Amino acid sequence: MPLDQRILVLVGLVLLASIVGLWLSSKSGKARQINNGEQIQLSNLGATKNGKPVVKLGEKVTLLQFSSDFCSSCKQTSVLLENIEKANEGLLHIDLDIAERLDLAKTFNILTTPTTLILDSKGSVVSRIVGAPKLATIEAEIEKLVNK
Amino acid sequence: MTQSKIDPRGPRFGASITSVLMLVVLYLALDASTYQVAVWLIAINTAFFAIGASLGNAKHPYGLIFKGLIRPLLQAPKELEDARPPKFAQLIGFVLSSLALVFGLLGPDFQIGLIICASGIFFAAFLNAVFKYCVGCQIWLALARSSLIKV
Repeated sequence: MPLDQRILVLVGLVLLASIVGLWLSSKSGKARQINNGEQIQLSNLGATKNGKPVVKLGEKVTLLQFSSDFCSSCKQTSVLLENIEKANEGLLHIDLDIAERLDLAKTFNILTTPTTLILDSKGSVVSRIVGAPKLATIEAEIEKLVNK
Repeated sequence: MTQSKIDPRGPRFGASITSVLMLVVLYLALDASTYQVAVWLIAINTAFFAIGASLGNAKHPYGLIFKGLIRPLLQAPKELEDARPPKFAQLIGFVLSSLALVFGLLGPDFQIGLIICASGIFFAAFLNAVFKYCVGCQIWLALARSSLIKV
């Protein structure tokens, strides 16, 4: 293949990868509003926190995070959400390992970890964040729920 | 399992080298006169991935370069990351690179196979290096969900 054609192929590949990367990072960490009335039954999750079963949702907000072992940003997200829990009364953070509950991955259609569902006081899903969220994104979502 | 931690910039440094190396491989593989060199490079790359996938990123040649030459120039990392995800990514890289090598060894008739696999490695390495996006994690979850791998 002539030199200029080869260069063209490589430039095309780099461009394509850049576009895909930009597209992925533009989607990642953004909150998407959910309005399908889906309600989470806590008993179906079998969630535990600090070794104890979770028996009650957060009074105002619950952050339901799906993680996996092989995900590097899950841990960061977990730490971030734990800190948010400490700073906000009536807020509960649950971290579920999808590897142990692949049935839940199917139920909630989790394609990426971390995925965080934000639930209101009744356990209805109000928004969904795929990828590692920023503090401001979560705070904005909490604000909407608390001031409702 | 012991939870070993690594500097997250290590694997990303490695991914940068891998993505450049894959561009070189593709460039060489696109011409018959340099095809053999591309196959050699893929063979070396496969061996590197094998080290990363079996012994971890810290023992990987690029990991050693990072530790010896780059890390001393940087500030301490803000946070460490779990060593398992990048190690799993090395395994994915190893599989793709082995496939590329097989196509390469089968001869120039199978050029397209080598090019597709090398492009795949480039994509994953580039997304990791530039966008911190972990393709391996997505693949792992997809495989687990379709029950192709046992968790």
